[in-house]
Amino acid sequence: MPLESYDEQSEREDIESRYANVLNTLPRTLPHLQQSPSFLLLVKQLRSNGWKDWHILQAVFNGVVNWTTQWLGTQTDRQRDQEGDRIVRRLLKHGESPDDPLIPSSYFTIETMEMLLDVGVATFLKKKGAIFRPRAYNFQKLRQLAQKRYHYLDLDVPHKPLF
Amino acid sequence: MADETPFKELSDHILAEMNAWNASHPQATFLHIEEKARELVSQLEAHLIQASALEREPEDWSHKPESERPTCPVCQTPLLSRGKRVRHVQGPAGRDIELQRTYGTCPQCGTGFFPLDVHAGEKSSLEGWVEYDELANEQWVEWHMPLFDQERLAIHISYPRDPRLAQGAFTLATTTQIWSVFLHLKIAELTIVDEVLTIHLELQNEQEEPLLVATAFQDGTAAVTLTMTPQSVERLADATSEGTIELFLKSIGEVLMDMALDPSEEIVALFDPDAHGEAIYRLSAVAHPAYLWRKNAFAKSVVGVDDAS
Repeated sequence: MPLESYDEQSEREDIESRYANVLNTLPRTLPHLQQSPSFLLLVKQLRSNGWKDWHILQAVFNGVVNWTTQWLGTQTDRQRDQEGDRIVRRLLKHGESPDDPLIPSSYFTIETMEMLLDVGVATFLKKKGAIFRPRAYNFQKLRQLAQKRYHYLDLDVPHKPLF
Repeated sequence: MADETPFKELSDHILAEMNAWNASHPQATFLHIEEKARELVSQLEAHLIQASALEREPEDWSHKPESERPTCPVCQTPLLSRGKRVRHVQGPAGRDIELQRTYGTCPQCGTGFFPLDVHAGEKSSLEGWVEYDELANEQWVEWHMPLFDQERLAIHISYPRDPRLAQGAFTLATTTQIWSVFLHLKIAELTIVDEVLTIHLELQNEQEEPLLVATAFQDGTAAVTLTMTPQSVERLADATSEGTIELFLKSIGEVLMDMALDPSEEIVALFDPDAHGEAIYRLSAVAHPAYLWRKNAFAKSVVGVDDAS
């Protein structure tokens, strides 16, 4: 059975959900980044490269998970995976708490954001039925695939200004 | 086409043969009719392509100064012409197509090939066809496999010049046609995430395993190295298909698992004759190595017969 087929309406609904989820889960990080001149400059650059706001939000969410996992002092890949899963579940269920460490805006660079979007693309394809094996992948190709099959890089929905 | 008469005669011949076949096979299934029709039409395709390609043989570069000669794709050195040679490519249904090409060798690294095919971009117009170069020390077979969703996978099989390895390479090339069969029948719309598959064959006398497989992935290329013993290559010519099936499953079958994003169990199921008997039947009908090695003149020109000598 091939990967899930394309349904534009369903994709738009998913994007709406992503906007709502990230806004709800990062009530501390987002205002912090919205005040950061360097992050706002980065947003401008990403938008000129074709990024949609939900791509930026998703990369920020993945960045928060990655950074917090490192901040907790995880050592092995296994520990990082386990802790990462636990943080994702907690954020999606309860959102950030006042006790959570605040990610420095300097963590986000163009290279980091590209890497974080790649993580987002792989997660997206997994939800469509893709199975990833323990091997190196060409993330550019995965992006092309997500775009060709699901218009991943093009689609957006109306939303309030974020940055 | 300068002279259309041979094509008209061939068309008439094909129609007559199809009519005769229909009359003598009243119980033929749709599948058999389709195969027969394709076999006959492939004669016309092969003639058309051969005639068109020969009309395009544009120039002889052998007497040109170095600066105007084609260069080696490996080290960029201007090539030395070795004169016109007959080149064979495999066309539809295994039809042998004969081309006249100026053959060149590189004085620097020894690579030998038909530069007009590379430099005139003919390769892309022959996409989907097996190509080979029977004179180079490092030989290769290259073609493009159509995939689901208008994608293509470039497959490049290389091997040191050795008739035994040529047999291994062309057996692999033939068996990979099962992908096309699956795609044609809409059995498997596999999502392949690599753009190039390279397979390098090596012969090794002193190894315990008859067939060793090493795979690496980098930048959209899946690179497979197959080390075979002479005995395991000889098994490919057996009357049974066991050696061929083992080669396919251990190399193409395994790498397919890693190249596709589809669930493993679905890929394994593709090779279950109970589930996909028709596809397996088609493979054995059109792509069984026996077809390649025992019936086809193409094999004779690849293994042991140097048509340029």
